[in-house]
Amino acid sequence: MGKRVAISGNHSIAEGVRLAKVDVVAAYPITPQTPMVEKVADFINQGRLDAKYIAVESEHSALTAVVGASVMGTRVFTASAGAGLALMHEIVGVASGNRLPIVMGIANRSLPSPWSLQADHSDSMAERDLGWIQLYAASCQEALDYTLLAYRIAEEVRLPVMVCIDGFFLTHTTEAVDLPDQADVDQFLPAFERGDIYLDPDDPMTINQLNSEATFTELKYRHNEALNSVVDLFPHVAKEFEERFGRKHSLCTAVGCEGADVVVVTLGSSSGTARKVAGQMRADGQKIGTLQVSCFRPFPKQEVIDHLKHAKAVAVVDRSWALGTDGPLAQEVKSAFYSAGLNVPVYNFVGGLGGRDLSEATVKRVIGKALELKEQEEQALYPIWIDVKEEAK
Amino acid sequence: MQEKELRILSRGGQGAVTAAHILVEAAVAANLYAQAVPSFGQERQGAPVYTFARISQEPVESHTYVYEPDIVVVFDPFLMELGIDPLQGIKDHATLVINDKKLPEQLRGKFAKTGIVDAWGITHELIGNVPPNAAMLGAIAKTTGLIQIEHITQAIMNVLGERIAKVNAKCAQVAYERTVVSET
Repeated sequence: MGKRVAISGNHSIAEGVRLAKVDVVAAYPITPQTPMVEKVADFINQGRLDAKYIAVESEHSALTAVVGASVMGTRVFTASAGAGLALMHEIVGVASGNRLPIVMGIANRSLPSPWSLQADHSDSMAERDLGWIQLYAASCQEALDYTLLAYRIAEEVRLPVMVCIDGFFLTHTTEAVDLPDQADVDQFLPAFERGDIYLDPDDPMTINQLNSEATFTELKYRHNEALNSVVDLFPHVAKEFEERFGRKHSLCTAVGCEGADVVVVTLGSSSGTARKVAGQMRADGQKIGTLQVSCFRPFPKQEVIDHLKHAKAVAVVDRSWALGTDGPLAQEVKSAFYSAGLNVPVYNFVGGLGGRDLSEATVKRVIGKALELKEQEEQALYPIWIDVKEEAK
Repeated sequence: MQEKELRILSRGGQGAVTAAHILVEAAVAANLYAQAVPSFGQERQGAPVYTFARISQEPVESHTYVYEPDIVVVFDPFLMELGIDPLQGIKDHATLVINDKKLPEQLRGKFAKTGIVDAWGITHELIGNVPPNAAMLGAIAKTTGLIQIEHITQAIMNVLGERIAKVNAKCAQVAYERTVVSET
């Protein structure tokens, strides 16, 4: 049953694309996504993936091409990062508004400026409210598994999915990954079936046309209903995935949250780092929990509330330079807490920007600062930049 | 076995990133979990490159650089002239694997275990003017005992192209045999 291989996060998503038997790929290379689409191209070249690869002149064209291919009734893939994703922005809403089950690999890279090749979530966060499902992986194994879950969920709810992996810390990191058998994937992910919106010369329809105020709100309402339904659908699909492949996945993963003095909330590759640090601290008798949020859109409010409601304080780590207010993850946690009437202090920490390592020492500093603020009963109105150098202050 | 963390000090073009990838491949073949984390930047040939790896019996959770290594691997002893210190942050009872003819003065007595290999000499003798990474993999296997040399040579065969795999596997094997390991 399957085999264990040593592959990078980029390669893991490409394996997911191969196993999903994608029909059409269009992508434009950009660091740190390039090896992802190169590997997909290799699979096609080697005859291991029977797909059409469309080489395009820009990211805007890449997403446009897979929108067209998806409407034609094919399973599609594209990928981007940083400024490349920003160039797709116009079409991001077109893909989701037309309810197309596109899967896009995101190699998270900071948006300019200053220019950076390296990781933070500012690129995918800039697209977060455009109606896509967003999954953030914490390991190369999750990168592969989330790609398979993404196709399955995308095609059930007819919505596109971004599978996000941190630039370099996942894209270029090699790990042991269990690769499933094709036969098992075929059972898990049935052949592509076109939805209600399609292009067919024998059955013509107009799509993506101009809408008046008479219908716009209702179409957006249905789009939102479909997106929110993923919170209920995900656990069912994940259970089936676990039964078939033996690996458990959740909207969010909590460890040691019950009665914790501080719970650290993370997205992406720093989640495992936080778990390791918190685990060591628990072994030393300290009550520190962790919550990895895997599904950021839709945001699993109830699950987050349930995991965090008995914590004494919450430290949310945002790897995004959302300026002028809280980071996007902290905004979500605070919003969910307020809706639930919870009065638990939530501290927001910004760190790991532009490729700065979110190290174990940084996680310890987050926990230490949160404990200190809680002890002093202080609230921090704006985020605390946890790894900024003194010389910048 | 507790998780072991490695820090590899090299220059751009010396093949440390490929070596770390091969190390993970070998660890997987040995039924272990492992991880190779390159610290990419805007790279140039000859510039210092830090590469990190972890080897464990459990899936590796941390996705960060290594600051307190159990094992330091030095591909190029001249990096010390640039102020790069192999002793930085090392754990107690750390291990050193170094490409040199003898142990540099400033590293004497600092590591619990040292493996010394003339990786450039061996590589030059067997292949020519190419990166010393295969030889360093042989030296890592010999010095640390974490991974068997058979798994290293097999991983080299799997990862490198057919044209260069065999001679690199041979290079690792010879380096394994010639690495001088001493413990204090």
